[in-house]
Amino acid sequence: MIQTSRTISKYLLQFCLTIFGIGLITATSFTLFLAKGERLVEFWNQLQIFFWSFFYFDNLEVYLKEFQYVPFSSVFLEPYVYSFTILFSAFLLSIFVALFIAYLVNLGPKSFRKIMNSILFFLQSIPDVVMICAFQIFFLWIFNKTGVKIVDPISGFESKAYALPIFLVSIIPTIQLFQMLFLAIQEEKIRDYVEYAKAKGLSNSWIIIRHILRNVAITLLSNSKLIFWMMISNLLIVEKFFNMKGYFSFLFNNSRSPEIFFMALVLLFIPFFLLEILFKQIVNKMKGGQAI
Amino acid sequence: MIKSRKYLPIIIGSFIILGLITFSFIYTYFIKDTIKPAPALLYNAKGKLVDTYGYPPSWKYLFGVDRFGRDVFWMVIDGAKYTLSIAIVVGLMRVIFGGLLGTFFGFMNQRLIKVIEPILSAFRFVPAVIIIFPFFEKLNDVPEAAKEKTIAIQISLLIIISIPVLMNSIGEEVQAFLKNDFITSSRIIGARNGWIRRKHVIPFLRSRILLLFVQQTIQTLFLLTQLGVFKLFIGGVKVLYLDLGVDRPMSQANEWSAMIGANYIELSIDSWVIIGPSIAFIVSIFAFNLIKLGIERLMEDQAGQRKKQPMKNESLYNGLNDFDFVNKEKLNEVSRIIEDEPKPSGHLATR
Repeated sequence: MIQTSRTISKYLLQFCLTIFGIGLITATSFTLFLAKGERLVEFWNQLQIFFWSFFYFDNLEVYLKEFQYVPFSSVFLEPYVYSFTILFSAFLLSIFVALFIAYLVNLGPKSFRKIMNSILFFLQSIPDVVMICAFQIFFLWIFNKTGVKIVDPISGFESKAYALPIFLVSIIPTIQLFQMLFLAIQEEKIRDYVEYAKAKGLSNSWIIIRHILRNVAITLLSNSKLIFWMMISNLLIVEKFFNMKGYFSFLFNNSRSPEIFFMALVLLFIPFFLLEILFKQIVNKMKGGQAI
Repeated sequence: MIKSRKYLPIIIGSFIILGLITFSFIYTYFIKDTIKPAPALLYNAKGKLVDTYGYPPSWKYLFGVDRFGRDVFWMVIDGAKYTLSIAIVVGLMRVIFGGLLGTFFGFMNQRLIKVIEPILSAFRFVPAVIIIFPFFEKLNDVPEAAKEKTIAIQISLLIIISIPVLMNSIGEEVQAFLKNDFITSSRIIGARNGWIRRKHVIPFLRSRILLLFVQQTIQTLFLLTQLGVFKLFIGGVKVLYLDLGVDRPMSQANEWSAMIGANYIELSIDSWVIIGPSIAFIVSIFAFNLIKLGIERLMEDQAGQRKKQPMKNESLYNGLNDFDFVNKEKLNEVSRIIEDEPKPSGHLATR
């Protein structure tokens, strides 16, 4: 009981400190280019505003047009939910696809594995921007050839599209995840227990699914932070390129008002923080289970 | 033969990068004046008007010609020196400062680290583009006169942005390294922090620093492409006007990321304007990745050799041993326990 309360307080402290860190970043970015005398005063003011904006959450207002303000709480929810649906489904998709490919590649012959590795090595050096550009050119090419319009390059998605953004966001994380998994499986394969299982006569796929994947999951979950980070920056680019009305375009539209920017970042942070705690707990449990 | 094969990825990678940069310099100083600009109007053999600016790629114009009559291939070559040198300088500075701060961070009080680490993790969570955006947005409309200053500020921002994360991860490695037995014994003999830092930690980090440098350079290139999308260019914005009153923000220098970002609208019309710099990006990142791979392999080889050597001797001269341990099982047990201990992972965040 004491243990749990202690961990909870630890996480709470971490949470508050990270939010403080976000506040520091935003405050600096909005005050750095002021005149010399005002800088520190304004910095302090901004921090205070950030602090109080948690208590006056309902009073935060978003600039819409000239002299038109809308309460923040009414505007942010729609793009927020939309973007997070895309992010999480892309996360799940990339995990499943990466697991599946890693499983297939590990069953295949050695030459196939080598080819796969070199293809991935090349794919890794394509920046996400270029990748998304290439897909757009590809869609345009399809449109020119067959007349099937997958996406309108000028106005973007007409209504809220899900399938295509999820697909685009999940490509690069899938590549990274696959590489991570592949290495981890390769490391795991030379362990003694795998040899023992083989000696017992268990089939290759059974060993991978039942034994190796369970151990690899630890690596996967503890690296989730990196994957999330990548997905966020991917979605950022996708939203910009396809004119989606997601959370990040909302964020950039409000880049002139510090407190909204700050609040939006904090709200972006919360789900990821919760997920990270969850993954940490799972990893701990898995590791603990192993030791016993 | 074997030795040169081991260095092959590094050699190819550095050859591509250095070649691009030298070619770019040669272009600006020698080739630039000799090249004729692309003709504004293109006639076919019969003397009929075929095309105007915006030629697709052909043998004469390898990457095509853009709407303003500029040859994309030479623009890419011209931009190579800016983009690559920015990436390399930023990567180098990041590693130097991050490494220095990281060694100090690793020695810090454990409680203090617990407070500082979550604050730093804010940097790890918020993508760099979002952090940089408000800064760069204000820097974009800076007058022409303050150009050098603007570039200096932008580059230092690019450096600062990743130092907290780098510092944190290096600090973590240093902390894990400080748990080694020889550090403890050195402390017992009376070594202070400064001594340990100089004699143990920095030599330990030195093998890592090259790898980190290449990683950071790649990361900077990625970041540059993303910044280009948001029309945030290194060195400010120059506006080019088409005759219809359509203006295009362009980078002052032919920097690759700016070429992609500024010409994004052309995607559905003259897509080759974007394809050129994209290929350049892919090639240079691929080259850096090759260097990284080579370094990783070398490091693995070194680690492998160190581990293998004693094993080999033992197995070779097994019969010659006139010295033997009495409690052999106990020794084996101890060595097995040591082996089972989880080693600190040598991975640092790549992106």
